[in-house]
Amino acid sequence: MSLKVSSTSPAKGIHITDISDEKFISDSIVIRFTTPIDEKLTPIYSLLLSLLAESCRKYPDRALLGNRLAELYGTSLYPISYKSGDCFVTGLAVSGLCDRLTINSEVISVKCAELLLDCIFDPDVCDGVFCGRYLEQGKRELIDKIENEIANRQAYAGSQSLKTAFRGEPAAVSLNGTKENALKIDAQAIEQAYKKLLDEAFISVSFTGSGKNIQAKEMVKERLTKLALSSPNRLHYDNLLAPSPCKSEPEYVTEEMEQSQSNLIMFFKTDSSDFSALKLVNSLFGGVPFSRLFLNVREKLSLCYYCSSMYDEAKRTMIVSCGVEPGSEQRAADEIINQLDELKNGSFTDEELENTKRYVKGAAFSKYDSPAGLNSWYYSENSCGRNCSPEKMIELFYEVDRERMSKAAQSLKLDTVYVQRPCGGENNA
Amino acid sequence: MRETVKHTITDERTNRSYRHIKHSSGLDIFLAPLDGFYTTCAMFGAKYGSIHNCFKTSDDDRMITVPDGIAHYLEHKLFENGDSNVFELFAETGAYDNAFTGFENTVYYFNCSENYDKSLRILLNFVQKPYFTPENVEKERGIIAQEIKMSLDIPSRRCFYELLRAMYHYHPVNIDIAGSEESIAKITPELLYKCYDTFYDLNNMALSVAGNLDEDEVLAICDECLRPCEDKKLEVSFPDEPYEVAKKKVVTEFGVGVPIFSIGFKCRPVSDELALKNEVSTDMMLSLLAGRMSPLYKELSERKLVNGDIGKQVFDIKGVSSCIFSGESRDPEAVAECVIKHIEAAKKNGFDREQFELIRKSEYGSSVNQLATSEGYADALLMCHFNDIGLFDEERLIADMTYEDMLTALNRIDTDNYSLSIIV
Repeated sequence: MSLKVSSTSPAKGIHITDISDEKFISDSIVIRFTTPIDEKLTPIYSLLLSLLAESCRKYPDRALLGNRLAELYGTSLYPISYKSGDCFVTGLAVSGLCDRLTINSEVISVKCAELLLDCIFDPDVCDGVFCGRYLEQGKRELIDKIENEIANRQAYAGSQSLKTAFRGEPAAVSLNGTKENALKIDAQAIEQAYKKLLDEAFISVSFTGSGKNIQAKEMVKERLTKLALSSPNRLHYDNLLAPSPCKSEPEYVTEEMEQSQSNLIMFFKTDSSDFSALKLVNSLFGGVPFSRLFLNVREKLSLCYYCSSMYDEAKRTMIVSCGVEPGSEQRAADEIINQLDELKNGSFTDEELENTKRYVKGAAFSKYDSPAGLNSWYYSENSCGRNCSPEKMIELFYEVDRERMSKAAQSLKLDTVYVQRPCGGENNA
Repeated sequence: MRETVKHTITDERTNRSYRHIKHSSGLDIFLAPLDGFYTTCAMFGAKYGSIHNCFKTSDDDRMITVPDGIAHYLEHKLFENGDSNVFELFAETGAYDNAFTGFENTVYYFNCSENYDKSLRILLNFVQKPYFTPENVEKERGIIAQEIKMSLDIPSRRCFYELLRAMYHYHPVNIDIAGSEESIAKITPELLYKCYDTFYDLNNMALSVAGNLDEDEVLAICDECLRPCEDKKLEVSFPDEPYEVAKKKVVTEFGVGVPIFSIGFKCRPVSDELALKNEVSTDMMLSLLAGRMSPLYKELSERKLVNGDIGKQVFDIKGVSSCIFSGESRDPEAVAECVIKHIEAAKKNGFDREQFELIRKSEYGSSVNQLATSEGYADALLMCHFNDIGLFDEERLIADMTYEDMLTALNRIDTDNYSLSIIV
């Protein structure tokens, strides 16, 4: 294996991961800033990063930046924004072809790193504040995004259900915020948020690729370490775990919208920290192609096209999503609970457990062939306070026995049932 | 029985290569061993998609028409053979398996990091072993109906299909790949067997395997599992499609916050020999016309007419050719006017030559990058074969593309012949 992984924390508030394998044909650098989710500030950070990805002082408009990216063999430069536990992770990433594959082996890796640093540290400012050129447009697009959240019914059901499942916790907050707050954002607010983000956020830097871009990596490491050292009050997270407490009684919410299909989302919470058993329970239950939910809710009962589950380790919550025929929501929910009860009672075969372990082993090993997969693997490991390689994680999965599986399943309690169904249907969930 | 014939195709500049094997069974096999890779991806596909709903073989004396959505239904049903569910068979190997149906092709695939030999046997066997009964066909109807309903709740997808319906009068590209609840109600085991026997002929199929593999081992499995097929002289028929679009504008009520639009310019289809060049040159031309560096994007952005980037797509399949622009806008009509204005301006004044060179560099980077993973490699090998081209031809075409080719591609757009689909 020519894979090399190293991690360092050269100062408080910064973590650097370097993943390289000479077989990779692209080099990517991801800079993430982590802050607590805040109803007012988080949407501003999100807008700020999209502005930083669109221009810098050297390339002050989208066309010039677009030209530069095309010149670098179609390198992509993009903002990232998502929730992890009760934190907001935002940042910029650049990904381009390895130098050895460019025409005449032109060195573009250093230029890609320079561009990324320019966008973060040398934005397009006029008289000390962000230029209005893209701010108004960014604001308008943010407002449209807020108004258009309902467009994709499945995604909307997902974000609506979080409000009930994580009520009172930062994870319930929408990353786009409200229209009222978006209207209040001005150049000064962006400027203040920019300074605050650079001064306070926890910094994670990930390099993934062929490993030959040594100069580019050094340049980024040096600049970001300098930033981390410049502020004594910088946040530092050893992990982003923020378990969500389970409600004493499950909460049921039904909403109606103009749509064809019903979306059923169920949240099960746990207080168990046995993450490898919980991940395996989730896989066997609804996370693999031959899962209990797939084989029973879809294949046996023909109730839906999709029915699957995912485990959010940071919130210690398993989320089941199902697109179901209006009127069959209760049948689907009953069967989902029935399948989980079977796992709780140990009603699964050794073969099912072995097959699940084999599948998660294959999925973990497949990360070794994907730079993006390895990047998110190690970031997610760090977010959970670990640094397990895919191989190490497989060992942990193979240590899980039937007893731990049942115990982990028993720890999952129903917290929220959310149904979004077509207008005028009978209420049977 | 034919002999198995092997070739090596090499790209001398980057020193990458793959093997093309014309198997004695009639199947085209493409193999790309990738050094240092753990994963193996195999794709087994048929040149059979949703548009192939009128056909005949040497067994038939006339053309047969089948219900819409049957290719997709067939894809679902192949996952069930007599004694077990295919997902459960793959569960024993640790592979991830799935399938997809498009307008022109159906592909079954798996990706794994161990036991690729076992998974390959399962893949080759289940695709060659149909098992349709009235009960299992009936059981699938509810699942596919839910898939159709799920698609109806995705506004961007609705917008795209409404656009195709507006552009095309008769060509079956104007029908959803999954069909409708009404059309799938007509599907029977007999019809599924008829379609299977017609299109799942190894002469009309291909297999690509990329990543961690041993050529001799893969070929031994192919020798063991592939059942030789007689070439049935498949003929597919498409209705004559008028040049003009069917409808200029279609508005669909959905309930979105900001309208979603697609603008499609219907072009004359090109001959098979020119298909790849047309697709690549049109794709580059659309980047020149509507990419972030273009005057069109600048104007749309300054006039606050679109949110984010404007989507651009060359939609070329057999008998159909069009250029599609899509996005989110509070005034889609004004976007359409602006797009037309810039197409006409480019026809008159040409494009910026420096921009053309930049686009060429960018396209080259994207085309190399698509071979970064075993899935990307296997997919590119299969799709290139289905489009009658070699894997490295696209990179060569990009390198040889001229500024004049951009103008030729641009001049294929007739700004009077377009449809606008809006979701509100």
